[in-house]
Amino acid sequence: MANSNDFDLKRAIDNWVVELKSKDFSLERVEELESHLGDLLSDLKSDKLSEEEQFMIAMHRIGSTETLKKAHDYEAPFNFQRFSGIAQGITYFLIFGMLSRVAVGATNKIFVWIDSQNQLLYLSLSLVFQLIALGGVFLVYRKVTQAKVKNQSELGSNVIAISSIFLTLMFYFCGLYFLRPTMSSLSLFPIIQSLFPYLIPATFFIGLLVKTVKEWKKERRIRALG
Amino acid sequence: MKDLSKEMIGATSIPLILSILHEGESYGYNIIQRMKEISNDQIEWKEGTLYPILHKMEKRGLITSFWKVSDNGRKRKYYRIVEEGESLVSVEIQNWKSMNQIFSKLWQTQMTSI
Repeated sequence: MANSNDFDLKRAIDNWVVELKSKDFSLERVEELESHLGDLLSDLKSDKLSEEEQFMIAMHRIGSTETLKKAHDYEAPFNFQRFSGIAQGITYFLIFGMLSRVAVGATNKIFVWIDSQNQLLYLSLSLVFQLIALGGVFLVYRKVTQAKVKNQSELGSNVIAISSIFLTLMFYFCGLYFLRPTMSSLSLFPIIQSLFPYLIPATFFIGLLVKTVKEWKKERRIRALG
Repeated sequence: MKDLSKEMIGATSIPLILSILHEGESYGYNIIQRMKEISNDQIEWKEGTLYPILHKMEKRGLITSFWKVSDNGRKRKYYRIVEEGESLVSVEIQNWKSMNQIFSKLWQTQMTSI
């Protein structure tokens, strides 16, 4: 049995924290569990136990890091948030880039077909798409204002993704409406078409940066409290 | 966990946590202690059980969390119930009252038939 005088409680806690981090827990989870351990040890101090005994009892009550990890994985078998903020943003970026290219291609085919048939129908459909896009922006705006009313500052990356989709679609169809070849002799339509595939990823890259900066700021805030 | 089955405790974890948070914001360790106190030590959540449930509830939008530095200088993650959670508590109260009435009738009938 180890001599209690050699036992260093702070080092034991630090080693435990290192072990938790090796199990791929996020910084926030580790901080929370460490805080819990601190509360447990504070309660055990009053039981007139040595520091080593307090730590052993605390470890027994909390369970092994393996047990904690299994319980965590059971509740969240596929936790998208385990990926870093950058990885999430890249995933959204790729999905959105692919969808936007499909949308651009499909829209070109639709409007080329319509243009040869009925210009009024073309204009009407453009307006319909713009209204849908505006409706999407309105929904996002409502979610933002509701979140502010509830004092929730964390909106999540879904709002950035959805707002980006609707805003860019809105601008795209506005461009089609005002700048299509039959409306003006100086047509910017081909230029808009050629630039748009680059504008969409650029718009969403901003969302990726915003999300990544948010994650870093959050971790800095947690560290600053300690 | 004494006397009460794991299935029963598992099924009631979320309503129990919400009910505790309905009393006021709290943190993980305090929630465990409060549950032990209310249940006369019949329900003793493990840390490995409680925290994943809290995180799941937060993802569902039933509760929200924030960090705060306590009086002893230690930072803690607190949880607070939100509107969605309050609504669920109201629903669960009605559900459990209904179940309680059903069981009371059944067991009374069974006892009188013995």
